Amino acid sequence: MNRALPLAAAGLATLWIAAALSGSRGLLAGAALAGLVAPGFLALRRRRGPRRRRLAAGLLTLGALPGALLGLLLAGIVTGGAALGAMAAFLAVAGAAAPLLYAGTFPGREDP
Amino acid sequence: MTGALLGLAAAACLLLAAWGWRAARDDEGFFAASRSAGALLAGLGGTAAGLSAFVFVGGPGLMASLGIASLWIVLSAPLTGALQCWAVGEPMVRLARESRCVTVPGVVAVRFGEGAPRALSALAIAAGGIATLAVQVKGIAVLGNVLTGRPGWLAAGILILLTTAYTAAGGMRAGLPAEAAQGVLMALAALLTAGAALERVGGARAAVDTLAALRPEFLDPFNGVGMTGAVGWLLLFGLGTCAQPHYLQKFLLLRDRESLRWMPVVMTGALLAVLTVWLGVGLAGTALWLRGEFPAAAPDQVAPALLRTLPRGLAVLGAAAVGAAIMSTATSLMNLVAAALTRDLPRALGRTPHRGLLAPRLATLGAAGAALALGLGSDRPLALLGVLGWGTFTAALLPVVLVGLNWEGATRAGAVGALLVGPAVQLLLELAPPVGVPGAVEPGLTGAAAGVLVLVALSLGRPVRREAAP
Repeated sequence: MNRALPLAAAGLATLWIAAALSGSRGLLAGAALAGLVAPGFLALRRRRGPRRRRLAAGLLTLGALPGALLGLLLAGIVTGGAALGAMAAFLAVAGAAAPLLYAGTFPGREDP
Repeated sequence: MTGALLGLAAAACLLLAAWGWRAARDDEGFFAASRSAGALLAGLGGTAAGLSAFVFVGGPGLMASLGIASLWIVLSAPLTGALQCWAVGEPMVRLARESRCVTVPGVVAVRFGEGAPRALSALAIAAGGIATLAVQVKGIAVLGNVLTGRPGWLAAGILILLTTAYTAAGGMRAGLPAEAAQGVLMALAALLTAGAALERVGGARAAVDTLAALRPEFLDPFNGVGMTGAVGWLLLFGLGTCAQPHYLQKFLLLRDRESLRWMPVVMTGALLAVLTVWLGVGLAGTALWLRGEFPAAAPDQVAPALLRTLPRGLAVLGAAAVGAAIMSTATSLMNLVAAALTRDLPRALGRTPHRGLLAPRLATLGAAGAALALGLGSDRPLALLGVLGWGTFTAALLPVVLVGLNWEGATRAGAVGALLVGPAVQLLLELAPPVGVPGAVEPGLTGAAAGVLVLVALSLGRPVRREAAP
């Protein structure tokens, strides 16, 4: 873990700079997903037992929401009024899921 | 009715100032609200402080200008509350409770040692804080002018004066309950205003049909910003929330760790409620504007112009919510700037700050004056000034709070390097945007990325050891 965190952070920073300079859709989507969801994994070290497993699973599931949205929009599969609808649906669904995931996996007294 | 409401608000502000003067007896009271906040108060206060004229005026204005591409700024909103608590809130609460520090640069100093880390983070907060405060001033000026027909500086002066009264007197002890109440007002007003605007245009479907017919590029999710710019906004405003000192400050006000559990629920609920104004007013306002139902000289004036066409009571409520948004953000920022100038910078330079609250109160007045001068004198568009403030915080603070507080191997040299390089890269990119690259380089985010690389490189290049707390 001592090296994983800084290397992941440096990797994300490099990925963002490469994506920004190149304008590549794949790099952009990767940078956005990693940037929005990966920091949540920092909390795994502060969870133990079932909370840790639930948080990891929840973060992976939660990551699928912006992943799907970005994929649809960046690939041009969803456009026009449907793009607006997809954005609004993401706001509603992720807005309910993320805070509840946090509350449901909040560290207990036995956690560090 | 408007005059009576303004008088009532002024009386409430002065009463709060009188109470705050007595209640904020020391640094912990003035800068950390005596660590009295639970999830509700801190969550509502954090959301109110984080949302500003940028959301109520700049947001719908940006939507009128760019269309749904502007939504990339708010698309990360559902994740930010939880993200802040996961990545930054938990370590900050632990460090603050262990060390009893009351400022954000204080937390940085506990982790990386006194001197440069505290000084550089304090400077970033002071500079970014004044820029963001100036956005609030400019927001009042634009709206006040359009709504009342009187000079914008008059409305800006009155609102900043009232905010300064209770912020200078009671700091966050008076500011936090005010911010929470303002957050409730903002959420209610946003929901009602957005609903009324959509009803006026004939519903969301009718608005979309109008826009598709009259300005189809409005519905292009990358219109005017491109894919890199859009994703840059998503990341800047998603990750960037972890580095905004007016959010981070709220973690220092919590009475216990358990209060963190429900903070994301409160923050996200309030945030999404307020953001309905961006979506609803932006969508309906632009459609009505294009139909020629009201005149607006510029996109920034679509929201206030629409507000004038709504029922009088709703228009007053909407204007009050804008005032509340501006006042809540201004409160936190003035307090943060005062803390940076009168507590953190002296400590970083090895001096003992003056005892008592006279210096922070005077610094609060100074921050308000500087913001008035910059906000009323700057020609930069409202949205861009907002991004500049947000970007400065992100470039400077994100590496040290996100990576630095979570990685035991991060060193003082790495933190200082990140605090220097991040804002320098951001400033360079703001002043001289790169030409000839296929993508679009977002300055704040790229500054933060450069800062992270410097933090990691300098830290890995030295023996791994935790800096001693002072």
